[in-house]
Amino acid sequence: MSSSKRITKELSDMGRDPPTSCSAGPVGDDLYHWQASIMGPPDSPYAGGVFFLSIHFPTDYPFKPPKISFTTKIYHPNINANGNICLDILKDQWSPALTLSKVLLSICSLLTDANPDDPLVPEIAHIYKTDRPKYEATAREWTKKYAV
Amino acid sequence: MKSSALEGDNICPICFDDLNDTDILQGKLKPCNHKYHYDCIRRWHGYSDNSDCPLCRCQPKTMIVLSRNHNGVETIDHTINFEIGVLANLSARMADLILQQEIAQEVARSERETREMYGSEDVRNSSTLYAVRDEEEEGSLSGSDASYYHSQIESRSRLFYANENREIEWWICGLCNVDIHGIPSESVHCADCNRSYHRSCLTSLIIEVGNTSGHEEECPACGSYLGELVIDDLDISSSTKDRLDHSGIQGIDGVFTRTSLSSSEGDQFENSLLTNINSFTPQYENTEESTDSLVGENSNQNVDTSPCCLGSRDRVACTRLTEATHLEKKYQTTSRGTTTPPENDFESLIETKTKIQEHVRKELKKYYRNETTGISISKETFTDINRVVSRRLYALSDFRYISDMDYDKLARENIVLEIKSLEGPALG
Repeated sequence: MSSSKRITKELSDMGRDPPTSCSAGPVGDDLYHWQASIMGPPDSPYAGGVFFLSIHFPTDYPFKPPKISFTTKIYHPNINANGNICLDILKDQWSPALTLSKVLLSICSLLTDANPDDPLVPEIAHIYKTDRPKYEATAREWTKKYAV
Repeated sequence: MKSSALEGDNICPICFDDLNDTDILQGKLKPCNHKYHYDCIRRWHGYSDNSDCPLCRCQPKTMIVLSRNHNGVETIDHTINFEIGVLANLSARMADLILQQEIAQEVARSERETREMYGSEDVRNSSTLYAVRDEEEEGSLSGSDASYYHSQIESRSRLFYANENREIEWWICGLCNVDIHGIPSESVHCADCNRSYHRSCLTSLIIEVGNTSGHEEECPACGSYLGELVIDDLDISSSTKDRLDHSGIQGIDGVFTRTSLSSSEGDQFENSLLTNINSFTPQYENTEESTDSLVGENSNQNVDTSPCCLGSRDRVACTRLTEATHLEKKYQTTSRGTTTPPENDFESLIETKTKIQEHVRKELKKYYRNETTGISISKETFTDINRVVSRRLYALSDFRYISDMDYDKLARENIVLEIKSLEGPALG
């Protein structure tokens, strides 16, 4: 089974039935390198922002998860300055039955509900837990600054 | 969420291709009943830490491997039991289990060797491809123990195919029963017992059964080190191809893909292959001389090649076994020179081998991970010595169990000899 075949199928499925508030597609003619965008969820401090992500499919996709990182700066306990995302389904909880579309939806919900107990940026997680208004204000500020 | 075509019932959730294509093996996990292409799910199990279901993440107990014909009728091919892994991983029983597995291995091995040596009906009748299937069905229903696991490997890799009057071993993965394509990095070969495996299958097996040996590159059937598999062109006649097509094997052409060998390597391999074929004809018709002369005709350098390292380019790994095989061959020839092997005595041959092995094992156990004797041998060494000494005693006693013979003493002496010949690092 070839990974390109499966990626092509995902691409066509995404075109036919795009997920809400996300979009994704290959960069140039490299099928293994995609770019995606996520709209900041309305019920989150990221509302109004558009966040871009870079996606690299491994050659043994879907047996290994795609490598996804934010290219837009974002203030979030589970996303660090390099845009790396701490999300279990992108690591040990990956399943070959997952699709990029489902992963992007999970990232959307991570924006709404951060997971401060498994943080990538402990400082942000600490503020998130102890001073939620301050976290929300900073997140909104960053969104306005980098994602609008 | 949307219910796209990708989530349909007839699509493999891993590759998104049609699941119900005729004659492609499917794997149905139990008890969740989720279905995948057999190749896809096995490959996933090679990647995942546990044999989980990608859709529901449950831990399946078994997988039913089935295929569907053009009328949509499902045929169960065999069943894979994942619970064996749980059994084998109970660390308290681990050491004992390894020993028991080896006993099972050795017994199964003796049976196979005896059949090969005397060309019993089992081997001859298996000239139809996939003739081994029936045995698997039986075993799969009852078994959730280690011996079942071994019988499964045993029956699957014994796949022969009759071409003219010779029997050719087929390059079929000893674990998944699917033919092996000629990509050396994706398959390995056991030069000792002549089985081949997909690398991915081995990884899956380790996940299922637990890595009892601590290293991956070990033959699951006989415990020897695995080398690279080399597959070369075979001149296959049209009638042969027809027969293959009728047997319903997918992608069999892959078996004959030429791997990129330099010409000298290619020649060497062809010689190996010839000898290989020869070594699979019943050996009682084939004297030592004819085996060697066949090699001699085709090669200037391979006269000394032992069947141990045939089919494998990784000859270095074979050196220790080569000696043993030569020795064994010598014993076989001399013994057979004086005595004709009993024709209808298959059962007693097995019995003899088992009895002799008990002696060897009893003596050898004293060294197995035992600090009190001052020498502690590893599992691999245990298997090697066990095999070499058992065969030697077996040949010495003329294929019979002689009650007057002091097998304990003979075993002890031979074991000491073998251990002495080992180099330092081989001691565990």
